[in-house]
Amino acid sequence: MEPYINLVESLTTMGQTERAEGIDSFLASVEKEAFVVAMAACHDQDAAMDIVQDSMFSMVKHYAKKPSDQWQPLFFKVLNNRITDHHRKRGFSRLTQWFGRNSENSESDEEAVDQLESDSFGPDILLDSQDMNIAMQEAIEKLTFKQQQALVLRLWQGLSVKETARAMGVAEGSVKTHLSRAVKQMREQLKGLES
Amino acid sequence: MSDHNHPEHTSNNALPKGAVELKALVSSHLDGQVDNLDFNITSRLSAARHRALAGEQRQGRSMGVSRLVLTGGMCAAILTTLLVTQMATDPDTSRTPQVALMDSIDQPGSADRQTHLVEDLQLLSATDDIDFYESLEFLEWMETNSG
Repeated sequence: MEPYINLVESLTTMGQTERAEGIDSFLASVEKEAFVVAMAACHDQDAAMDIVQDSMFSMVKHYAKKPSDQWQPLFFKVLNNRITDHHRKRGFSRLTQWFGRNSENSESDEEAVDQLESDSFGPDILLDSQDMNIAMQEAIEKLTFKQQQALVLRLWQGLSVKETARAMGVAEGSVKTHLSRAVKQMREQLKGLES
Repeated sequence: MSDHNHPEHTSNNALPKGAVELKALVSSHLDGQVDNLDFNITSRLSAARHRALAGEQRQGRSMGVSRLVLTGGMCAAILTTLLVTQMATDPDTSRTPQVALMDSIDQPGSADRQTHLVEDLQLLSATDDIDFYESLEFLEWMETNSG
């Protein structure tokens, strides 16, 4: 293993103090959000912490010298890969859920998108804030990993379709499909609750 | 004045109707999750960031050969279980397990089950060392940003 030089020192030596401070500021701005994303994906606080730290390490080691406008999609790509690695370590990820899952969704990708565009996510859900938080968290955690990623990256992080596709390692069309399915699932989960 | 020719402002990035309304709810919820992280978590995250900046990789992170073999073996075991389960529940004994499994995937209501199954099998069948993914991320980024 090659000796690792402290990034801040190396960048400072190279006259890139601003970049060193920039990557530090960037990571400080995303570390909590990354933790929330990792928790939703793996439901394990210690695992989520490890995932975030590994992602930050990889970001610093490989991508700190990239243009700063690429850091956000790059970081979430790295985070996505670390979460995937975590699921692989677990061994059975959602296969156990597959055995018990009883979905009634038989739509094709096109139908999923068309149906979403004709429906509205209306304000017909009246819950107090605590119930809504619980319901939202459960709904997000019930999504598949790719649906979660599409939802989080597009709706929360505000990444473009192209950036989201890069982060997820899928085609742009797949991003739209995963997002439309995620929204539909969320809608069904939340509409099942009464005020 | 917005630049309508900018790639980020094209209709490709427009959210579908249902997603627009959900966006506020999701953002509010997840922002709340961030704001409610306790001091223990936030301090651990800060410490992790400082360790990452100092180049300290977490102990025991590398994926050894034994785990690669275990992952591959587990994948094979799970596939076998799927086939046996399908065979046990399939009333039509004239069909082979493989045909029965594929038929079940084609049944109404199976699209989501298929999505989960495909995602999980992709995860389990990949036996690459994690270091490969680190290099791959970099190469992919180089490729998409070149030319």
